[in-house]
Amino acid sequence: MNDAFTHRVLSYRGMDEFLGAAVPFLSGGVAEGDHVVAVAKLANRTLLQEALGDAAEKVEFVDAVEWYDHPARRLADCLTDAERAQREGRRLRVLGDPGEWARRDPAEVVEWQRIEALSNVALRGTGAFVLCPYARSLPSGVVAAGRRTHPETVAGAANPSYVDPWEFSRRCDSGPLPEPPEDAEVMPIETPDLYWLRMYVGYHAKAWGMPEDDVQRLLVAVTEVMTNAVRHGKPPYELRMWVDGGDVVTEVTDGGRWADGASFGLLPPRPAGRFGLWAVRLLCSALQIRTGDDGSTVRLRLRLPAVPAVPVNTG
Amino acid sequence: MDDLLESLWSVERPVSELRPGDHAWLCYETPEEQSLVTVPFVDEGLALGHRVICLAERVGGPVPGLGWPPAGGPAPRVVALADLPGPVGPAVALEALAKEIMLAEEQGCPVVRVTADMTWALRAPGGLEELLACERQLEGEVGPSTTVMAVCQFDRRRCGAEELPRLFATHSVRVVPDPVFDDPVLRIAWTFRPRGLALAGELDASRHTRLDEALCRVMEAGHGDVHLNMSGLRFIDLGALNLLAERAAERPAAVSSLVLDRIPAQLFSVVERVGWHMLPGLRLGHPA
Repeated sequence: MNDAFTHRVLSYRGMDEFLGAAVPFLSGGVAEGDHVVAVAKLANRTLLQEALGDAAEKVEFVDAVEWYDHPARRLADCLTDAERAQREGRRLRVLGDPGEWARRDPAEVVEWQRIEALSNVALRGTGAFVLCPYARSLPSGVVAAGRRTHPETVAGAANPSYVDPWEFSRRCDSGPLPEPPEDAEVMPIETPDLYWLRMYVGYHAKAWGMPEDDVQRLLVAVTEVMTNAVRHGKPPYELRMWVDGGDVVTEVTDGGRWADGASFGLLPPRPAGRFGLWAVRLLCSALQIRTGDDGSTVRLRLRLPAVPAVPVNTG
Repeated sequence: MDDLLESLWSVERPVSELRPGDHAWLCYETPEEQSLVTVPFVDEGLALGHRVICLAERVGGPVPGLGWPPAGGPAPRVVALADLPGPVGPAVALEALAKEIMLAEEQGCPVVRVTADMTWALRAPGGLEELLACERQLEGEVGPSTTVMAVCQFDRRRCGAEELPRLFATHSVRVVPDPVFDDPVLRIAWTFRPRGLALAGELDASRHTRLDEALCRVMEAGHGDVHLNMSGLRFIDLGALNLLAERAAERPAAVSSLVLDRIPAQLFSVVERVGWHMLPGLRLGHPA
C-alpha cells in the first residue's frame, strides 16, 4: 500500500461538477476496499447516495456539523482513524466538506484553515486520501485559502498555489489579537501561585455560568499555560478574563518572547510524548498565541452553553 | 478483614500523631509496611526523651520491625522473651512489659512508648483466647493513661482470617504510616492493599517533585502493579499526568502497570478529552 498522504482540493461550481468529482472518488475507494467516509450536509448526502447506488452502503456518511466540531480534536481523530485503517492494510478515504463556512466566526475559520494546512504534516505517512470540495460561491478568502492548503488538485496535479503548511500556520498568527475589553477582570501576579490562580479562574468561570466539567478543563488548561509562562517567560505576568459573545476568554500574558521553534502544540505528539499545549487545544474551544519582543499572550476560549430560549407566554 | 472495614470501625492515626492513651493496632503484610510505623514510633520517642520499650526474642538480638539494634546512641529498652520464666505465653509477656512500664512511671518518665509484635502468641494452644484477654486488659489500662501509648503488631500473613477481626476489636486506634508528603494543598499517603499511594488535594507543577519522589519509592519497593487512589484529588495538571505516564513507561507493562483507581468524574473527563492513548502504561482501575 502507498503510505503517502494525498490531499486534494476540488473547487467546483454547481452540483453537477461536485458529483462529477465526488462520486468517482467515493466509488473508487469502495472498489479498492478503503475505509470510505463522506462528510456532507444532508442535501448533498442524499444526492451522493442516489448517485452511488449500491456502493453507498459501503460509505460511512457523517454529518458535517458533527465532523467539523473542533479543529484539534478532528485532526487527532482523523489521525487515529487513518492509522487504524493502515494497520488493517487499508487506507482511509475522506470526502470532507465543511459546507457552512459562512456561519463560523472568523477566528474559528482561521483554525479550520490551519488544520487543512497542518494535516499535510500530521497525516504524512498514513496513506490517507482526502478530497476537500470548495464551492466557488463561498467567500473568496475561504476559496483562496483552500487553494493554499492542498498540495494537489482534484485531478492529482501539483497545485501551484500550495503554501508550506508551517508558513501558512505562521501567517494565521500574524495579525494582532483584538484588545481585551476595558472591563475585563485583571489579576496581576507577583509570585505565581497556581492554587490561588485556579480559585480565581474557577470563581469567575462559575459565575458566568460555565458547567462544572468545563470549569475543570479550563483550570487544567490555564494551569498549563501559566506553568509554561513562569518556567520559560519573564515577569510581569498577568491574567485576564472576560466574556466575548458566547465564550469565556482567559488570557495569560508575560514579558518574555517564545524561543524560535517553540512548539505551539499544533500537532498531536507521538504517544508518551509531552502533550502540554496540544492537550490545552483539546481542552479549550480555541487557543490563540502571539509572541514577540513586547511579550507573549496566550488566549484560551471556552464556549459557554447556549442560553435556553426564554419561553414566550402566548396565553 | 479489609482496610475499608477497619477504617470504618476505628480511629485512624498516622504514627507521629499517636498520643498517650492510644492502644494502637498495626496489622502489616510486608516488612516495609511494618517498619514504616515501628521505626518512626521508636525513633521519635527516643529523640523526644520518652521511655521506649520493645518486646524481642533476646537482648542484643533483632527487634521486630526495627532490625538489629544500632551500635551507639539511644536505644529502646528490650524485654526479652528468652529471659522470661517459661512456658512463655502472652500473659507472661504482658506482665513483664507492665513491670517495665511501672518502673518508667516510678522514674518519672513523662511518656512511655511500648511496642510488641504478638503474632507468635497466636500459635500456642489456646493462644488466641489468652491473647484476647491480655489485649482487653491492655486496652483497659492504656486507654485512660496519660503517659502510656502502645502499638501492637500482627503479621497478617500468619494470622487466621477469623482471628484478625477479634483481635482488632480490642484496639481503639488503627495506626498507619505517616504520609509521604502532607501540606495544606496536597497529601500523599502510603496504601498497602492494594500497594501504592493515595493522593488527596491538588497536584500541580509546584509539587511534581514530591509526587515523583513518592512514586519512585513505591515503585522501587516491590514488584507488581502500583495503584494510585485518586478519590481525594480535586485537581491534577497535565505535567503530573505526563509524569505518571513516563514513570509507568519505564517499567515493562507485562511486569507491572500504574493503575489509577477511583478517579473523580471531573478529572476523568479531562483525561478522556486528552485521550488515554496519550498515556500508555497507565491503566484505569477501580471506578470512582
